[in-house]
Amino acid sequence: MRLRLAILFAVMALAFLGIGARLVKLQASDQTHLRSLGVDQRLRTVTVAAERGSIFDRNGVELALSVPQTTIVADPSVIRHPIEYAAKLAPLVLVDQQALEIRLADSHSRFAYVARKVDDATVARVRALHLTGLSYLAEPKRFYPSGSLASPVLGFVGTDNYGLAGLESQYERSLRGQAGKARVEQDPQGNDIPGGAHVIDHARRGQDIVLTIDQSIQANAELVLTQQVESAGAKGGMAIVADVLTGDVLAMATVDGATTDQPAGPAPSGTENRPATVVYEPGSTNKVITMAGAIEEKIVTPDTEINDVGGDIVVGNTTYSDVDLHPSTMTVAQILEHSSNVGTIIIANALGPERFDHYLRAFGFGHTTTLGFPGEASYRLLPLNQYNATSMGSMPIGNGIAVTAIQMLDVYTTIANGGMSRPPRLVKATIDADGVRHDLPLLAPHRVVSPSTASAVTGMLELVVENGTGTSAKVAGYRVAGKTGTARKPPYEHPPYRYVASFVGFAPANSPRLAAIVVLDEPSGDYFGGRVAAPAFAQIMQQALGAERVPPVP
Amino acid sequence: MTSAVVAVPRARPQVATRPALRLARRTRPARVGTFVAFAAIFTFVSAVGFHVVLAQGQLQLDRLGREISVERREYEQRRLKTSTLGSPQLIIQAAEQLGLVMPLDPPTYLEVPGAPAFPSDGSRTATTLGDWKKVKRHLGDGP
Repeated sequence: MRLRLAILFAVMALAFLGIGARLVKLQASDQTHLRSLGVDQRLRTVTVAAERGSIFDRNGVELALSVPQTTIVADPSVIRHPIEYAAKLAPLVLVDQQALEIRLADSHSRFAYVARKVDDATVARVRALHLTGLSYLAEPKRFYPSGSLASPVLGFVGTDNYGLAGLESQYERSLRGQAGKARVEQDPQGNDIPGGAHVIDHARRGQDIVLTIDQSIQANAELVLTQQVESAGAKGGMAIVADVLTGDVLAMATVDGATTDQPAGPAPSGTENRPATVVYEPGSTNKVITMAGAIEEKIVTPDTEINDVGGDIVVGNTTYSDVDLHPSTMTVAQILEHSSNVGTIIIANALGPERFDHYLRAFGFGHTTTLGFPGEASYRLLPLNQYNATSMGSMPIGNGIAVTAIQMLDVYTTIANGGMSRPPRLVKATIDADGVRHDLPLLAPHRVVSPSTASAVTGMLELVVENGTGTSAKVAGYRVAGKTGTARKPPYEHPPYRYVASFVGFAPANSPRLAAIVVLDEPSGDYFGGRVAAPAFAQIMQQALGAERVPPVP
Repeated sequence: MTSAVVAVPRARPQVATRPALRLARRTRPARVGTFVAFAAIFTFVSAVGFHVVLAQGQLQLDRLGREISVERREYEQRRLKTSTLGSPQLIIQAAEQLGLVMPLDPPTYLEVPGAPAFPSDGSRTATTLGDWKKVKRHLGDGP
């Protein structure tokens, strides 16, 4: 009996000794290695995406926002039948079955995307399959609730929510926010263990930005421009509406013309924001700079009579003429009213190339505007010492130079603002992650011409709309000042000729509040700015004045 | 102790002897051992209980966290839906379905009798900056 007890005791003692030795080995000698293996098996650090800031119009309407969607990921190391998985998942999440199969078959990997940013209904169908090794991550997706409204201005983001174009790209650093990190604990089947996750770094939401764009004015501008592009058979069109006193851009529209496949319509996402990125020859709308410079330099007044306007004029080796017959003597105001090329060239030559060049640059040509828009165009003005024999014939009437629509609108905004340039802007405030709004100060104005010159030019521009080439730009109840422009696109000599038609102006002329520009690219029928662009200007301005609660002037 | 007994003792009936009963006193180590054993069991049970309570609390937190994210998701979805329904494109579509048509002429802005009068004497209209509270009262007190 005692012997048996002794043997039993010895066996148990040996067993415990063995277990103890093994424990010591595991806990002491292999501890670090085993711990790291265990941690590696259970814990995964995942990036928690920061919610991207929203983009609001000036009235707080959301133009772009991020909404959490579900990204389905797999742990291929625990998936034993990737072919079956792919066959079940691919039709639900609408991905290529073979590609998915290849991703899931990589058993050395512990992470593979099944589908990104999937809607809730699809996620529910996938969950119902009860497949082990799948995880579900929340990932924000960018939405533009108003569809294509202002798409070229807003831009777009890529799959990883990085801004790739437009304001999304320009304000990427503000909108993006800061991603966080979380450590999640999972069982061998890849399922999250409740209570096993903890956050290392909290994600910080990106800033919201508040635009100067007004959704209703933008929508109307796009609608009117689309109708006008359609009816004029134009290749495309662009329009801008701006607040004269603040420089706030209230609408910036880009419209594509009709093709054999689809009718004319607002440019879709991914299209460049042409009012800021595409240059065109402005034609007669540029005459206002010649006139303003000559009046500012006291070379002429609106009432100064200019002779020999009725015929042609030769500058260098080129003969310039007018489309319509004009009397041989016209006042400066009449020259602008009837858009006389000959009269304008005579005045420009009286101004001289140095001062003409000065005013072109002072009004903002030759450099980008303050918008700082990605890809904003800046046509390099011809340096004064490189003027050729015909430069002072073509440039004063808007040929041989190129500007963006926003640059040309800026010229008229300056005139409307009493000669003070009010730099344009598209963003008026930001809202940080704590919800605090930070209004951006108005950009500093600078004087370009005197108030008296601006007033004189405004009066002349009013006559253009009242009796001249821009009568179609009249807005019932308001006094409108503006100028038509029609420029032939290169190649100039060979038919078929192609034109750019435009109208730019502001209202009410006696106390300007809003300025707008409409540009039609290659209208196929009538191509004069006064006939195809001015009517669209009138409709856009009419609605914008109402939206801005500008009372009509009796 | 001396003995004075000399008489031959009579035979007495044999009485079974048994040790005198006495109160056995536990040794100190035994009491300590018992106490330690109970304390260990109590501690172990308490630790298990505490852990269970903690785990329950954690599960509750997880559940609340999930509920928050579900509700937040719902909020975001509705926010998107609201913005989408308010988009000009959908409003125009809805209006057209109701039989409304776009006016041929642009609408004319009218001053309503009795409405707050803005300066409109022909020499000066209300300006954005000068009359911000009147002109853009929907945008707050200032630009």
